[in-house]
Amino acid sequence: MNRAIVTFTFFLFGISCYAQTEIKGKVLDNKKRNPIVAATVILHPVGLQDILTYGTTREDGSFVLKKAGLPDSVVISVRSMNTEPFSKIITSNIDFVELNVTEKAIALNEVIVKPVKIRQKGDTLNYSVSSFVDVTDKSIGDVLKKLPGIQVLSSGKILYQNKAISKFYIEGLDMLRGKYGIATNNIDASKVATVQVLENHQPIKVLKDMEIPEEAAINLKLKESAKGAYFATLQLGLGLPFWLFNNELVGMRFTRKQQNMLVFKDDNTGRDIAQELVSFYDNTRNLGVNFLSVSKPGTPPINKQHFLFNNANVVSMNNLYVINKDMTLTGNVNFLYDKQTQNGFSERQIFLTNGQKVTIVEDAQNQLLKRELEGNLVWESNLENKYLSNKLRAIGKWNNENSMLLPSSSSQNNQSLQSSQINISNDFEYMFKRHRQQYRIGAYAGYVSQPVSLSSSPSSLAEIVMNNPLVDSVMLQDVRYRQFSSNAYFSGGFGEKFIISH
Amino acid sequence: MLIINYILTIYNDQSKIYLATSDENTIFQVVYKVSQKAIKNQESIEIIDTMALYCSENISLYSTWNKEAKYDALQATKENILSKSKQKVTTYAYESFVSNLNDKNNIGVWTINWEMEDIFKDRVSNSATFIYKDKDEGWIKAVENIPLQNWDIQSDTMTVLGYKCQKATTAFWGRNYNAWFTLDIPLHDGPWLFSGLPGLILRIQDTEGIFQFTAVGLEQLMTPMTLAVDESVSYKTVTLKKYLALKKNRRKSVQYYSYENNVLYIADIYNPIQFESLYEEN
Repeated sequence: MNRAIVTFTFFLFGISCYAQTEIKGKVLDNKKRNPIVAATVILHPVGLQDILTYGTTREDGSFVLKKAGLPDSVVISVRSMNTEPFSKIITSNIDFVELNVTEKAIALNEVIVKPVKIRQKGDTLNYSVSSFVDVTDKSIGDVLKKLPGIQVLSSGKILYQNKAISKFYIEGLDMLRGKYGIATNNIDASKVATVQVLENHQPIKVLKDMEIPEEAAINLKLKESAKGAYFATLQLGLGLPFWLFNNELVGMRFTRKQQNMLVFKDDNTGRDIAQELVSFYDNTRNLGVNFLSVSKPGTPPINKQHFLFNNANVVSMNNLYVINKDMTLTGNVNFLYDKQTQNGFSERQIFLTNGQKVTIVEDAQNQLLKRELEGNLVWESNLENKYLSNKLRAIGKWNNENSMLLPSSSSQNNQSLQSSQINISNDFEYMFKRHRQQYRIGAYAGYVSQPVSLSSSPSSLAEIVMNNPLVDSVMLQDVRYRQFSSNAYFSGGFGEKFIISH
Repeated sequence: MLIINYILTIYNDQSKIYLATSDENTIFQVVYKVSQKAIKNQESIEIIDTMALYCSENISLYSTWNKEAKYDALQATKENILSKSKQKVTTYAYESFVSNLNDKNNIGVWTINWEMEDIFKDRVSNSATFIYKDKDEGWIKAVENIPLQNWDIQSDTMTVLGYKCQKATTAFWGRNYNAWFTLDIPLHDGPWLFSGLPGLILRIQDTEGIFQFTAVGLEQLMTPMTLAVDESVSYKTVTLKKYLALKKNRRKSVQYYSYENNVLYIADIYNPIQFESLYEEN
């Protein structure tokens, strides 16, 4: 018995000694001599495609190939996703071999499969963002432009089948209240799973099946991974000539219970960031009147970015809280600071038949300073049989506009317009349904105060009145406008309708 | 005009900072059509799913393809069902479920006909991480060292997706498999737990003809993507055995539903489809 075991042990030992050839080696990039990781190293018989043995390279580029009974010389070949295929003939009794390969991303024949792009379910169209997005798309607005049926105007307004959308939701909630440029320009396309178009969308549940609007609404469905996480994006841009900058700080968070978005932008490259604060819902009333204006140079027929010389700051804070399933409280504060300068020069020469020439020169320098602050507080309760909403809004504007006509000539004219506005309004709406009858109660109260003053010097009118060329003549126009309006209504369904308003 | 942009994205929930740089590892996506023979009421049927393999240098992820959209559709169906019901009646026999209903034509089946499991394979540590969301247990995770398959390379060739493939055979967890891999794509990976060949596996099937994986798409992904277990989720770590038991249990039942007069009726009954599992007999 003992002898048998001894023999057996010797037999095993004999085998490993005799035939197991081990080839160690390293695969390196021939320029920088960096190790090539996860490359395949294969031994082929010379002149044949058969695989004798194979291995992969480790983190340091090393590999070990073990094989019994190799021919005297073999082909060693290296393939990896980022090197050119390499092969060379070696003798199989070599202990260590260094292989120097050329780094190059290999091109593969791709076969691209695409998921179904658009799914329709009832009145809802689902556009799968991943099938429309490509590398150049940064924000979701870039993707929206590509979706069939959806059109994004240069102002940022979204149309679906040539009609402006009535609502823009994120995860079914309307936080931005029409200023959806904040969302389309700042939400990263990679965070959105689906863009939904809700056709004939009725946002008020009481009116469901009673009033069917033609307009559609858009809803962004976020990816699971984007829900609940805080996202902050900081972008700093600096450019020449001395100094162009565009800086952005965007923070956002979307959960089931609340949504927040904070945007801070600072730009003087001519991008019109003020556009993000334009509301595309046309529910605004009592916005004041434009009484006076200064002369402005004409708008050239080129892209706005190339003639807009401004220094703008935008701050936008948006918060939405879900109180319960059907009740939300939304608060928005937006601030815009925009300083623009415009220089316009045009000269027109008209040659008359009698050899005379008439030259018309327009030369103007304008400066515009806009400071606008707006706050919104909306409480909304949207139930199957009852709808209640209260919108409180306050706007303050402090704008200055200076215009200098013919600045380099003796007949220079200066105009200066100062306009400010305070606008406070509250809009209350209550609707309920009883026995398929619909009742509405509403009250609106709004106050606008708008002092405007325009000074112009020298004033030709003043010169005539004063008749004294030595005195600097200034014309001053002052408008003070105050308006308070309120109205209340009730409409009910006994076949009769009566409206009280004052 | 020269503009230099630094884009920095912070994911607060994970307290990690990812710098999105352009030279991030490219991810290679392989889409496989996965078919499986099953038996429903003594009849043989075929279940087809589409899976994706995402490969980076050392880690690969095998997960259902187009997952976001599938989850989305699932969520939408669920919300739709729940919004229509104020009360829920669950029965455990199909007959009593049907007897509750006036309209017997309006019955839906609540099934998830795609693989919900994610498998991460780590080439360096030679381990696999299995992730699955169980209805009762929540997110579960199992980490297991996977024995390397011993491949026997043969000289037969076949063309799959325009690539010349070579045959290799192996025995793994109680089944014998025939695989077709290509040297032209030097990734040592394959669908499910298959790996270790000197090229990507484009097709593999077991010798009994129950499971078959065939590549239908190959793509180099341009969008940066991190192949890592999402650490923002808290997992219950279990053994692979427990994990497989939970998964198997889930497939045993199927839910039928119907709603009438604001009541949601659910029948939670045995799944009439009999599956074999890739994991069985190990």
